[in-house]
Amino acid sequence: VLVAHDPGEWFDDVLAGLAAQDHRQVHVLVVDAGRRRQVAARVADVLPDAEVVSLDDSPGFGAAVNLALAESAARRGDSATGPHMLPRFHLFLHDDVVLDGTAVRRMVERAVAANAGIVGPKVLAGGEGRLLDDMGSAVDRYGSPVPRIDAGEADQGQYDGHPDVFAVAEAAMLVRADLFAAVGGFDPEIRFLDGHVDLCWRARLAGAAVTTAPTAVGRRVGGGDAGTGVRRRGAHPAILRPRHRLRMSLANQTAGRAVVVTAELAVTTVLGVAYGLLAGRFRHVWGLLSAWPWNLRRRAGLRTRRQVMALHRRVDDPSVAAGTHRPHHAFRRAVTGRAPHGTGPEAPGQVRFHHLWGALLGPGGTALMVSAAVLGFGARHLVTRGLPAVGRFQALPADPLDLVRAWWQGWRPTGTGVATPGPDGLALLGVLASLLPGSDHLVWTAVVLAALPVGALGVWRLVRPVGGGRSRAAAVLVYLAVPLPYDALREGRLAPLAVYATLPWIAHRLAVAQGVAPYGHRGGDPGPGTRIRNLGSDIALTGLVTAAAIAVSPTVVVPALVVLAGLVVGSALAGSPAGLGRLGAVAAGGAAVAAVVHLPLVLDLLGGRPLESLAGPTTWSTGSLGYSAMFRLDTGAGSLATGPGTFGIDRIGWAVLVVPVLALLTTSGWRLALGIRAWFVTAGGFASVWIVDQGWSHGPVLPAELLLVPVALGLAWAAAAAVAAMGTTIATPRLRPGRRSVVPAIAALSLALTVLPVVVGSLDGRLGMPDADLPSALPFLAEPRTAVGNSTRGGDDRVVWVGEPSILPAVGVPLGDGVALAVTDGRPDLLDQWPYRLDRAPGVEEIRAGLSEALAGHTNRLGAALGAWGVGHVVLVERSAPAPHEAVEAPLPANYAAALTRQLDLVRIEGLNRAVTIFSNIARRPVHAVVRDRTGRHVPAVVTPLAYDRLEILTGADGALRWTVGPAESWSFSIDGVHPPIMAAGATGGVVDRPSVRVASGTTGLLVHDGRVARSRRLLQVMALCSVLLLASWVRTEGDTDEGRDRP
Amino acid sequence: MNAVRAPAVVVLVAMAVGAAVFGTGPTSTPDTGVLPPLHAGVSLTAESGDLWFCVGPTVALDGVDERVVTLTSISDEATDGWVTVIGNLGSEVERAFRLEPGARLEIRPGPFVPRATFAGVTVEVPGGRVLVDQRLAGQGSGVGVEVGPCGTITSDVWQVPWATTAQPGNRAMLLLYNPFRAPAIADLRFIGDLGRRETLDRQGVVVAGRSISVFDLSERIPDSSVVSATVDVRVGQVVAARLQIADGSGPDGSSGLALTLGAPEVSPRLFLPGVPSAAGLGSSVVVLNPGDETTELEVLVRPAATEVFVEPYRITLRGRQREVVDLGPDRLDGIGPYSVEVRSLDGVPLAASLVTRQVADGQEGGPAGLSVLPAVGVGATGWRIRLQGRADATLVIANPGATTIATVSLSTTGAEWPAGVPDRFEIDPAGQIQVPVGADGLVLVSASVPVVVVVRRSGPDGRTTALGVAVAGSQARPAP
Repeated sequence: VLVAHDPGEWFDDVLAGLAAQDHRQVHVLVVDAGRRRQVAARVADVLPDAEVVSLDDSPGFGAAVNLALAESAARRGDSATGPHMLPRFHLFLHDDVVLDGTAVRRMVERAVAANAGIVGPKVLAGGEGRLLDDMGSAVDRYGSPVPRIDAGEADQGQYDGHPDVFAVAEAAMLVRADLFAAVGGFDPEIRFLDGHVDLCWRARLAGAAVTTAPTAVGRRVGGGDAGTGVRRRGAHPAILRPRHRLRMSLANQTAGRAVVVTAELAVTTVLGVAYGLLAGRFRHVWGLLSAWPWNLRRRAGLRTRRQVMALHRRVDDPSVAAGTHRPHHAFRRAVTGRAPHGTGPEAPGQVRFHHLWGALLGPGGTALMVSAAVLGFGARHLVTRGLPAVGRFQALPADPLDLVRAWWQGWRPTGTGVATPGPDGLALLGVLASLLPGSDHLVWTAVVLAALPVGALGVWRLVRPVGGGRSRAAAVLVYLAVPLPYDALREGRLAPLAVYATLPWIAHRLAVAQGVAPYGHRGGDPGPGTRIRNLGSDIALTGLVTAAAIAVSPTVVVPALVVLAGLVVGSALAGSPAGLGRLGAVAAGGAAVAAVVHLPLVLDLLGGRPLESLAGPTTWSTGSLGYSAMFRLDTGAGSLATGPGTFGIDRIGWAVLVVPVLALLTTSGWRLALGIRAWFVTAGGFASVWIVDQGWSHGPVLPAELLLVPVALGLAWAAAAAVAAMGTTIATPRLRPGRRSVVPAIAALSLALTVLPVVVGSLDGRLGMPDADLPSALPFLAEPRTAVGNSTRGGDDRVVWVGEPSILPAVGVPLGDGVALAVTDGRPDLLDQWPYRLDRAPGVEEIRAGLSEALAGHTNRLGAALGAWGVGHVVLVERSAPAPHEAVEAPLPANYAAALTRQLDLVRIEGLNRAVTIFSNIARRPVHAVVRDRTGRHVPAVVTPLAYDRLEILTGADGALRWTVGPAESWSFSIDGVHPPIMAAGATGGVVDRPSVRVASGTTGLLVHDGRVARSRRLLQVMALCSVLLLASWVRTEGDTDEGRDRP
Repeated sequence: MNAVRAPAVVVLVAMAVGAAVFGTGPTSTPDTGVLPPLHAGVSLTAESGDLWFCVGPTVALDGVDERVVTLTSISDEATDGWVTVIGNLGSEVERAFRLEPGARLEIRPGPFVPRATFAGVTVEVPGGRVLVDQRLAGQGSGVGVEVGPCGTITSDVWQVPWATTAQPGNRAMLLLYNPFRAPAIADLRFIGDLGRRETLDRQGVVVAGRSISVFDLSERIPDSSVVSATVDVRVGQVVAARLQIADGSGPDGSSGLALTLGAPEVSPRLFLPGVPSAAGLGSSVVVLNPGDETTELEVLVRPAATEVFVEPYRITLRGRQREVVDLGPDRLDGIGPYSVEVRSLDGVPLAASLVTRQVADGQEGGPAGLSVLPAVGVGATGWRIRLQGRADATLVIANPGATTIATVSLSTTGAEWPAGVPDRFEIDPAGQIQVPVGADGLVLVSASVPVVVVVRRSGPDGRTTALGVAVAGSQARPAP
């Protein structure tokens, strides 16, 4: 039975194949299910004896067969049960399969020999017949057919020894006629794809064997509208397969098992819909959803088929399943519509694992592992004893979830209370610290130290296409050996470390976006690990990577721009401007995507938030870094703050430039172009540092370590290009072979010298960080904020920290002369480490003004000015760690201590470490207090935090309750749910300088922060992030092609 | 892919060379905007407050007849403030006050702290525009008087170049006043006739918060013709002053009373304007080198008459030593009024004082005369001088700058400007003028460049020399 549906010119070959069969009795019935009605004439030309049945419409393969057989029988007037006219076997054939001349005979012989009910041929692809097209399939737990072969698999007879299958090839199948009749023929509702599977399934339930005749060969010709190649309208496998899966499960399984499987399929439907929506596979979603109503509408036919099957069932379900190999990953297949093609060594996952393992054991991986070992050894005391609270490396809050709350509420207690949240990464850190077992300090230490391996891994991935393991090793070693991350660690700078970790990943996205060899097809072949994506996918991924980096530190934008500029200028000067347009498009698009993800921040900036509030104050006096230190990337030698010495070794530091310079001198072709691009990234970094160091920059200044990260990245990149070229003779054509061997020796020596300081520096086990921190020297100031449920009188005392910005234990605002001040509630923690808008922190503004007045000698009552904001202590900080431990020292101008000493209401506290000078404020007023009407005395209220943004206030006197927590307009006070009127500052009955409410003694009220605007913005941000992720997933899905697979 | 090497290499090399050639090295530490210290400065704006410190004995001290602290408003609106009197026996009294525009308030510290022989007075004026000075009179006739402004500075280093404990007839006391709440710890070093006098009991001297400590030099370093002192405050800040009482029975026959603040700053250039040249008076300059380095220095006499030249006194002064230069008549006879500049030739910071006293062979019946003027290294363009007492005053205005002519305007409030006295002057570089200004009133001095203003008073109750009160913020170092 040959079902033809408007076949192409190959149909004559199909007919010729049938005509050439050497089987004695072959009656050909051609079913014309197409619209053009041209089949009969073509059949008559080749097979004049063939019977042609034309159908009015195209009911699908199975239904067409059923109808044609019935019409043929009726036309001949035979009884369906007549023994003489009834053929013993039906051969159902698609119109694109050309059978070899012996195929029918061999299938019949196989059926007889194996006593099989259904026999299928070996179907090869195309005319040459070297590749397998179909060798039958298995069925998983949920009825999804799983082909035995992988796409593009060559025929080597590998399946010939295992002929038994669950379902034979779809294109041609020989079925015993009585069996066909007994099981009810093809399911007419399964129009395409899985009709043969259903038939084989039912045949097996009826006790028949299903097998393949490997010697019977058919060849797939033509366009291929069968099997997985079906592309008719509404006949996409993603739509049909879920329907068929459900129908076959319901029709062919026992009731109990059908119920269980149906329930499981319902679950897979829900998950599959979610997956499809996330992945942008809407056809898959539609297929899953439509499967249920589709089957419900056809429940009558389903019932009939179950009744038919009940009459002929000879074998139970487990036996059917046990009869063949049942594929794994049924659940994954049902949910995603896909599954790995294998589980053995040939499986993609296994292949990737082997590649990874091979890479790790190669020079690049070995460099990574040795570096990890050295750094792990070097950081052993940091891991075991915790990260000292130096600079921005302050401890996590007592409740790490406060980081999440600060992000969500948009409010932090630092600076007397500010409505400027920190980076989004803080919230993730809070979640991480809450979820992970063990000490929060350990988590924080791990997160900070992770900057080194994450950055190294980023470089490893960046240079992966450049060359082999040696080039990756050189790049990783160069990137890890530069002193700047260790200087940043020693000085407690977070932003440079964050940029150090994230910039290689951004650079990788930009390089891939440009698409120049080895990151794309332009100018050469893509290198190993290159993944070619479409423009949309590149934009989305670049935007997401940038957004992730910004979430850790917004300052990453500056070095990212330096990298972009370096790539553009380098490409132009290398004479290879290919891909610059695409690079620009991806960069602009990525910036837009990142802006969408960080919508609240963008809105803030558009609303006038100054850029300074993103970077925090940095001291950088003109010429303090200098030429030599800049080229050695050794910021420890030239900063304003003086430390115990640099992490690098001065003269050896120049060695870091040697291998990258070779990239300019010894390479050629795309490696030279890459080296030039990398060097202009380096030059961009140097230029930005130089501009600031010369005092030519007028605006917020970033730390030197941060601006030097592009330099380190460019050097590592260039080193990879240089080392990659060493294995090729074409790279150094002008050098004689004997001299070519000198270049690797020079490179190896300079690399060894480059890493030497790091190896030496790792001996102390602290990577140059001090043994102790300021909080350990200030126990009475080191009280954390009052925890939820605990009470204090008047609230937490505040501390004003004054000193060089980088050594302050909290982020400060500029005070002048390279000095900053910070205000914290008691002991500083991580909530105090990110800058805020000074214009939204009136408390800090007043405190700064008071300090300026005192420094100018205009006041001798600074304590009163500070005390109005609850400041209990003023601390002058001149070392990042207590003496005698190693620390960064930044002595304050002498007039600071003198000016504070002259204050009549500040008392200097003696006997403490010389790292700090502490003044106690005897004019301190409580943060929460009731001001008596008559005396003006401030009576502290009992304050009990009920939540991060909610305080219970119990008043102890009659008068005006005032609170010095900012921003004033975002706090509301209520008594039993009633909001008393808030009196403006200076109002009758109120307080002179603050808003207040009238209260009676013993009143209990709630002071609540109103974070609705911040929450709305965060919600918007989460939605924007989800949308971008969804879009990225969709774009990526649409762009997935064979080309997009990893190149081994 | 074909890539070209040369353009990129050229550009990179050019950038590196350009950075090396055109880059500038570290710049010197920028001026932090901190003004040099002056012993007394008054704020003229309501936004800036002042803190005045007056130290001295009470009438309970033998030989002291009167001590009056006077607050004078120079504001055009009422001024509020607080006065704290702290006695050396631990008592402490704080009072608020309000001064109407132009009003005066006299405070006699003794009654606030009964039985205390010494008292420190802290006057806090949040709105500024108040002058605070004190008058100290000796007991009996001929013992002298001291009139001058209180200080507005505390410091962690003080130099007292001159005191004398020569016996008989001299008493010298070092007063350390800590007006703040935290204790101060000071190291005291003395240089007597026998050289440096350092003992353990003078190291780590604790001056309790809000207290005044008295260190009797006459007992600790007895019978020394000159005693120099250095107060090095390790912790905190104090006010240091020296009280000298001479009853005329001493070897040099001088009598008088001098209460002088120490020098809060050392400088390689120091100025002593207004050296009196009257008959019967002897002047000497005491130069102290508080550091460890030996220095070559000159004591330059600058006569008001610019055509007169006086050979400088050249001195080699070792570290932690002092030298007394007697401005005797042999070299200075007939040169008229003059000022003195002490200059270290090698930049070593110094301290100095001008000591003026009645010489033994002077005219009988003249005013008791012992005055000590601390040298200053700083001038100011604005000065306020309150005249008080029963003596005519002479204003001495010196231009310490070596190159610029100073244009000075004078005016007064509270009294008429003396008839026939010009109110506008031009002072040559290193020159000085003397202006008689009467006995009472407030004199306002305004100069185009920093000048130093000294008030000399001479009356029946004694002779005094004191610096004026600078306008806060107008001080600056003179041009070299």
